[in-house]
Amino acid sequence: MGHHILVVEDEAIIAMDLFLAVEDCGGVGLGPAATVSEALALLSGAASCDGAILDVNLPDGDIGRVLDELEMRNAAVVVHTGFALPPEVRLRHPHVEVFQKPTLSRVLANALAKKLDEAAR
Amino acid sequence: MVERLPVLCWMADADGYIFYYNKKWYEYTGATPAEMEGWGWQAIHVPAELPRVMEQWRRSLASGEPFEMTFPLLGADGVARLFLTRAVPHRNADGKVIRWFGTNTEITDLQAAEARARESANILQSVIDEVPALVFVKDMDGRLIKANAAVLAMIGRTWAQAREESDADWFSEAQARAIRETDRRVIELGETEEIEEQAGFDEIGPRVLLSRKSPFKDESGNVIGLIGTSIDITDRKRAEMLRAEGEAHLRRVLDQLFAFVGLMTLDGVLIEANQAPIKAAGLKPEDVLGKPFWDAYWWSYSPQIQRRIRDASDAARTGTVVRFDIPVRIVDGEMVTIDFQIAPLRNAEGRITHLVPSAVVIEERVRLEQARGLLIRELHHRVKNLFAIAIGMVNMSARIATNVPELAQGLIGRLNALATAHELIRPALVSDSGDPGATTLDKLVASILTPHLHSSDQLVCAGPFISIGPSAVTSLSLILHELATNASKYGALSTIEGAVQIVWESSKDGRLLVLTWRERNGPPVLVPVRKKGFGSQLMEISAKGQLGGDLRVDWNESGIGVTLTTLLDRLSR
Repeated sequence: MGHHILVVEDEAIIAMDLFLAVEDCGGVGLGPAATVSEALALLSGAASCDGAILDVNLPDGDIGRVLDELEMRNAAVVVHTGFALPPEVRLRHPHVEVFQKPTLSRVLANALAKKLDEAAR
Repeated sequence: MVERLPVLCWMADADGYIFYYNKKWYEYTGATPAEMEGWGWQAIHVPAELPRVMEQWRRSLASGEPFEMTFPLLGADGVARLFLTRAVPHRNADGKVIRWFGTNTEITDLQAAEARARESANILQSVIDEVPALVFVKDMDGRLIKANAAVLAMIGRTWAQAREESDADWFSEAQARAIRETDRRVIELGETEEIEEQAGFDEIGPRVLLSRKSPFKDESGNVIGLIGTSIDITDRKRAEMLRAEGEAHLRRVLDQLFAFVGLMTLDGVLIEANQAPIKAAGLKPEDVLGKPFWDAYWWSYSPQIQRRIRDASDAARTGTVVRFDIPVRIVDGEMVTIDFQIAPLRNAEGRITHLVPSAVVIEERVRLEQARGLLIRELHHRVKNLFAIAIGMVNMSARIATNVPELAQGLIGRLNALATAHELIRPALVSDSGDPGATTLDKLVASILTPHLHSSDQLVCAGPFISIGPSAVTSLSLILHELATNASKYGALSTIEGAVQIVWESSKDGRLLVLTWRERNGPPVLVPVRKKGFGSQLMEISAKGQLGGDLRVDWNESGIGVTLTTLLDRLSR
């Protein structure tokens, strides 16, 4: 596959788990990024980004701007959070799929792979 | 001339021999001149009275002093009537008595009248003495001419004393002056006046009299004093004052009360309300009083709430107490939540006469409820996050473990570190302070390291007070746990002699915290063959990611050295 997948998660151990799960699915991990600014920097430096697994609440704010950027790139996205998308972010991204924490990293990676497959067809 | 006088007349010589009686005499006595001449008059006297009459008549004849005496004389009808008899001597130029002129004036009627007057006066006195009111008559100078028992009792004097004294002797100077002023006014203007007066004191204070004073006139209509009646209204007055004071006191208490208490008519017009809630809304009483309650500023922002108040008033009118929580607007458009109630007010017969709206501000209660809700959500979130971390740990541990015991050991260690971190944050979370929950770096270091120490002197810590927030605490505790585990497996904590020194300080610009971990007296350090194990990766990601810093490991042969740099503001999150 070789899809480039961004992982944004500020909890290190979860981030590592997700990162490895992405690789298990044959993806190429980007990150993990723990903050919004780190994620945006990774995106601007990356040649391509096909999908992302995103936490919502990060030390420097919510994931809204990263979602905006990913949408412009037509990237497939799954969100993994203990809360929910903030209302204004939800308004801008009505179709983003949200998984409640804790969701197994394998489940998230598979869900994302499925989206990428559907997009490829 | 003497014949025309309405009295009995006579004339006697110096010796007392009567030689003349007037016509009235004969008419009254029915006697003849012959019978009466000289001393014949004794025949018409009551025999028992005669000796004292004779005695005094003889004394006057002897001394020449005028004669005056009262005695009965028998009339022609046989009835004895009382006469006042006077005789005056007529003297010649030498002063010698030559003749006596006498008159007898019938006084039976007069005496009866006097007796009747005395009797009625006594009755009157008895009556006015029985009256609880004060009754008095004063002369032009304000002295008592007459006073009933109540007056005497109040001033504590006998009548004999009272008639010799005046108001100034019984009352204070100011009281006496005020009373005298009223008395003068009544006398001068000749008009009746009703006035409250202070007169005397009891143990509580001055007594209050309600007095009615009228001018006292003689037969010709001249004012010769005043007639007064006074009722002691002290007790009534005090009761009134107490009630007024009680009401004023209650009002002051109510006005201080931030709770709202009002009174509405059945039509919903607010007619009473305490001050504080009106002030709190930046209003004046007239802004709400006399107007429909539901139109008041407090809820005029919301037609729904106005509707609810209106419905509640309707329900209260039929006897139902209605109670609910509503947000109300106060000064500057600020909102507070109140516990609001409208209840019917019934009179003694049980009829609903008014409605009583009342309210207390429950902002604090609402705030606490919100805070509790927030805390519960926060805890819920944290639990989910902890499970996510735990799942990540299991996955990661499974990836690196070569056998089951190793997997178990690694997992238990990390889960324990997580539990320790949570335990340190827990007290702040469940406290009522509203603090987001924080611990300190020294506590965290001690908690994570202690299980790995053989003795407490293996650990040396130094650094300023640094607050650690609930987000940063997991990353930091996992980093410290990885370092401690590594030290106890391969480093300084694997021997009794080894020691770990942990020193931290903030950077000069106050943005960063630099923590150094230095191991001493441990076994020689071997640079790991397999670079960047799971532990190292975890530490690095934690330091770089959540803590916004960096982690550098120096593989000195004498002991491993680690420098952790983090953003200070991330630590408190």
